[in-house]
Amino acid sequence: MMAPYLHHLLMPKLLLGAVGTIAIFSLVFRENKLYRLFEHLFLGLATGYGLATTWTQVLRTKWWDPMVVQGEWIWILVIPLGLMFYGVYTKKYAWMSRMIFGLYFGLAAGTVFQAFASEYVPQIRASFKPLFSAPPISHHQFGVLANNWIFLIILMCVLIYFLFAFEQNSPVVKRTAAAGRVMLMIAFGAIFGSTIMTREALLIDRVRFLLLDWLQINHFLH
Amino acid sequence: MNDTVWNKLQSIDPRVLYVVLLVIIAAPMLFPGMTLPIVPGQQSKDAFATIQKLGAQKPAKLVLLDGVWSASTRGESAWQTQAIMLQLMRLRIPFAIMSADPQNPQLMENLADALARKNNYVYGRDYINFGYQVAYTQTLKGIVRDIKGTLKTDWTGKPLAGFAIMANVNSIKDVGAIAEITPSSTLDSWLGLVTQIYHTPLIYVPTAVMAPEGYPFRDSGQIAGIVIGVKGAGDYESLMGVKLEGTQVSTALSLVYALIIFLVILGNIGYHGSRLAAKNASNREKAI
Repeated sequence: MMAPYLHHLLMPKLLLGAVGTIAIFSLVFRENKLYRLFEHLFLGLATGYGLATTWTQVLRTKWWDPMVVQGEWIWILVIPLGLMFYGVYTKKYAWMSRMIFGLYFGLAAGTVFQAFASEYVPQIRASFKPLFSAPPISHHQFGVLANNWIFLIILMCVLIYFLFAFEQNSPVVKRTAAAGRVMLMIAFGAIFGSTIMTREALLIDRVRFLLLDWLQINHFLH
Repeated sequence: MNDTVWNKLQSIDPRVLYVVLLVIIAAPMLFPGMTLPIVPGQQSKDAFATIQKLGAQKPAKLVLLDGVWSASTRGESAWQTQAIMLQLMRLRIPFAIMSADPQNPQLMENLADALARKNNYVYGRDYINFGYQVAYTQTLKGIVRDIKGTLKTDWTGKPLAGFAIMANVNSIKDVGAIAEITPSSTLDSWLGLVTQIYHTPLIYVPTAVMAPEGYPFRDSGQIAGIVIGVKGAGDYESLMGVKLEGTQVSTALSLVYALIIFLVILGNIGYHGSRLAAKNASNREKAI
């Protein structure tokens, strides 16, 4: 009865995961060497895994194999282009890095412009919402209109809060900006609540791993 | 003065709180029947409906699952991914996995493989893994017009043209929907470079911490739906009528939130109680 259970507990994959989880959580009690060891282990593993994956799934399949196996030797040109980036580390060859960075910035700027237009033009368009409707107004329409008014008021308050081009002396502007700040605080509060949700979900997952996957406590209870 | 009940309420030993927290988290895992009711949010319903609509079309178009998550956010992202994959498999919708994190192809494959066995899904025919992609901006720009030419191979290095699932998939026009499963700020790239071109429905599947970023885009109609963290996974499972990890973790999460609210109230009672006690003591001294 106990032998298979012990065998399960000592399975290297599970045992390493369990010890790693406990070691990382040990920080909540106090800083310790075991935590530091596993922190470095995790970073090293993640970096090594990332490097290996970059080679097996990206560089080999998209660059090395086409060049060496399929004979598309034109791909060899990316080596000098890539090496030009490293010119930034020497005064003598810094001009090379400037050339390649310039090319890269140009490409990136064009892409960002396209992305900006596609991303934000619909946002601006969506901020124009109907505020009135011809009677008779149904309950649903009333709800939509109320929502639109709330949206407009909050949008204006927050935009005015971010108007730094002039001093906000007028009491109307001052109070609107203050209301905008309150609304931003409410939004930040909601974001903070979401942050807690993520952190707790990650903790729950690790506890789940320890109790169910490793210790298999549910088997003893049922 | 420091030993008053009010001060004790404000300075509970953190180790006691950790133990209570662990007990609260463990309860729904030890007693699987203990689940709280889940009321799916509208954003989850919209995401669910988008895929249901795709499933009604025959043949259904490919759905692209873009994974940006790694082991560090497995606690949320894995259950979201599992819920969406299960819906796709139940509707017999082909899907492709694409990853922007080196760990992601293996993590997504593990989930797909486990579900595929139960749902008679075959790799290469019903689903495929494009693997890890670097230079994501260029990759996204490329797949808009030519998926096979841009990605070239699956994650094992086999040419995409050799897979049955890719027979009629050439550009993003052949993709029915995209699900962006992410713990990072990657939504902008898809909105800016891909989805707006052919109005491909985009389902945003973020960790809870990233969810607020998606709301303005949902309001403007640029996102078809949002599946938020484990709550979203729980919503999804509830809409499918199953109880898997998403439901279990959602229950634990609700209990943790209840504990946090209780402790915030307790701390505030302690704070206001100690202030009141100090005020009373000061008044008494003045009177003497």
